[in-house]
Amino acid sequence: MSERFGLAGLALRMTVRAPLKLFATGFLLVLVSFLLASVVLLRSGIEEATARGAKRLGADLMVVPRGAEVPLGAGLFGGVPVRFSLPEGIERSIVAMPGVRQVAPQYFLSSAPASCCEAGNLLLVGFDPSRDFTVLPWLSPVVRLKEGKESILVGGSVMKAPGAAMRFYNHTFTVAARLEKSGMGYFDNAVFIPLDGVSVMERSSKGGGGVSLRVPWGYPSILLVRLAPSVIPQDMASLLERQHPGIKVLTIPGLFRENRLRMEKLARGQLPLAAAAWLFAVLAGGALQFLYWREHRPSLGLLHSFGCGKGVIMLLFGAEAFILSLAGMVAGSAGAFFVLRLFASYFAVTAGMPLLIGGLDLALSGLPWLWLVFAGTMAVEAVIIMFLLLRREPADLLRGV
Amino acid sequence: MRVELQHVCKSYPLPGGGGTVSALDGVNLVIERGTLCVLNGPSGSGKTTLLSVIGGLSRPTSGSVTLDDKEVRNSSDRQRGTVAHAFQEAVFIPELTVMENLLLPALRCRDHFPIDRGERLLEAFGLAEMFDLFPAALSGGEKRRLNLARALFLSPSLLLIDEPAAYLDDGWQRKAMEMIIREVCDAQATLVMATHTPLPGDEGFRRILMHKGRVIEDGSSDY
Repeated sequence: MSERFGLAGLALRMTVRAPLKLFATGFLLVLVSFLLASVVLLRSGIEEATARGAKRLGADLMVVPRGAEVPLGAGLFGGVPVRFSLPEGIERSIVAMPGVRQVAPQYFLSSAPASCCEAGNLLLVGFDPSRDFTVLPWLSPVVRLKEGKESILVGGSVMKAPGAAMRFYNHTFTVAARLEKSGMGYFDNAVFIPLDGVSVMERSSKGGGGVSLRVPWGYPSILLVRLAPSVIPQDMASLLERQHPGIKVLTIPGLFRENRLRMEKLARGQLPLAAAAWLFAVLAGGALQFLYWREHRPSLGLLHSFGCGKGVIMLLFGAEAFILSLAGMVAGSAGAFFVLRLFASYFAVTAGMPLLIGGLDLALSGLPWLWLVFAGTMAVEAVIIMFLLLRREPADLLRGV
Repeated sequence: MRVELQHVCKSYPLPGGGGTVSALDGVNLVIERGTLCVLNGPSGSGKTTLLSVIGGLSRPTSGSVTLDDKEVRNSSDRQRGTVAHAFQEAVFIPELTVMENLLLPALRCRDHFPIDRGERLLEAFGLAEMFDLFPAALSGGEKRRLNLARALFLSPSLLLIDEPAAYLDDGWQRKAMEMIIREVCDAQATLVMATHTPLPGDEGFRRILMHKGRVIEDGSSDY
């Protein structure tokens, strides 16, 4: 460091050369900001994933077997393999309904934890490319499923690049494309196989002594329904449920409503935690600063005796606390971002909720206000501490009284 | 710098709130610019308190203290920077090196930062090899010398030194006094030193004897 220094240089030296104070304060700030940032990132991540998931499903209604709502949630939000089937004839009946524009059936299967499969317990979704409006429209225009029975699509969290081979039930597929991450387990952790491929896979499973796959043809797991613009989804859902007692018809907002309620409950639980963390940081940080400066009263008296007024000293160490807090907040927030991003899938599966931690810029866009408020609080606190200490005469401070 | 004290009293509250103790009791004193002055008296006579009050580090309970006809309490921060103190117990900022501690008085002087003078002073006080050490690594005598060097650093108009001979061996006492007197005379500054022991080279100084917070004798040194 240069021998010539001003007040800012002095503050910098006194900060970086007091490693215990720096470590204790830094650790506290990083820890608390990690907690606070996690709360903000989780909330925004769930909101983003919910919005993106709803948009990507592209349907007005989702038809599932009655009683399958719970496993459906695990499959949709967590990407957990689930299996259930709709009653016979439902698909034909709904297609024929006036006001129904498009129906896309999907079969939920799971890979077997055996040598016949690339990986066990993966959600395999059989879909009909000719009627699909949920998976294919979200692919880049240059990616198209090749004709034939070999092409599959993988979710954003499945670590397979386009062109890679994946083997399920003794049949080897080629990954045609990987979907962009959505934060919904259904899109991120699943493997989407065209129905032709499912059929071939089923036949392959019968030979070679592997685990046999049985597909309930004609009994899809879910139907995704698009309605004419004039039809009110809620009315159509009620009508379909009345006509077919064995099914549950979910509107897409309704599908995510429970999710939103859980999210709000989670947020309500997080707020007291965040407030407690905030209070703890302010009190513990303040106590640390107070104890440190109380011990270093002679340094303050010395500065005062060399012509630094009380206002200058308060401003100086207020600014020091602000910069230190800001640095701690940024570090803690970055830590929270990387941990959440790394374990987002795990959290989503565990909590049964969609979660999308986007890019660093997007994820941290909501945080600067938090940093500023927190750092501002710490700066004000430092100024108050200085004010309390500097009430004593410089001569007393110099003597450590 | 001219120093004038009128009816200056200073009392401290006793611990536990049981009344006050008087450290200065109606001190009247005029020290003209360029005066070399020694405050004598036994421990507890008020010498250190008087230095603190003159330097603006302690506010008198009553009375007035003026430096060049300006009340100390009203003087600007920069003016207070022209008054240098060498405290009885050497006080340093532990996170700063020897050189940085020496440069502290120049902290607020953006246009005047004489680093080369700092180097010369460190050399003169036998600390040239220690400029990048931290104060904790210095002995008592070295800290004392650094304390004195720092007080001289900006060639102050008023130099207040508390027990200049403390922690110094005979050789360094003499050498330090020579340097202090030379610097003060060159700058035509005012020097006030508080001590309870005779100092080498203070013959001819104005001698102020204190006892129980009062000036009981004011005249020339006759050691």
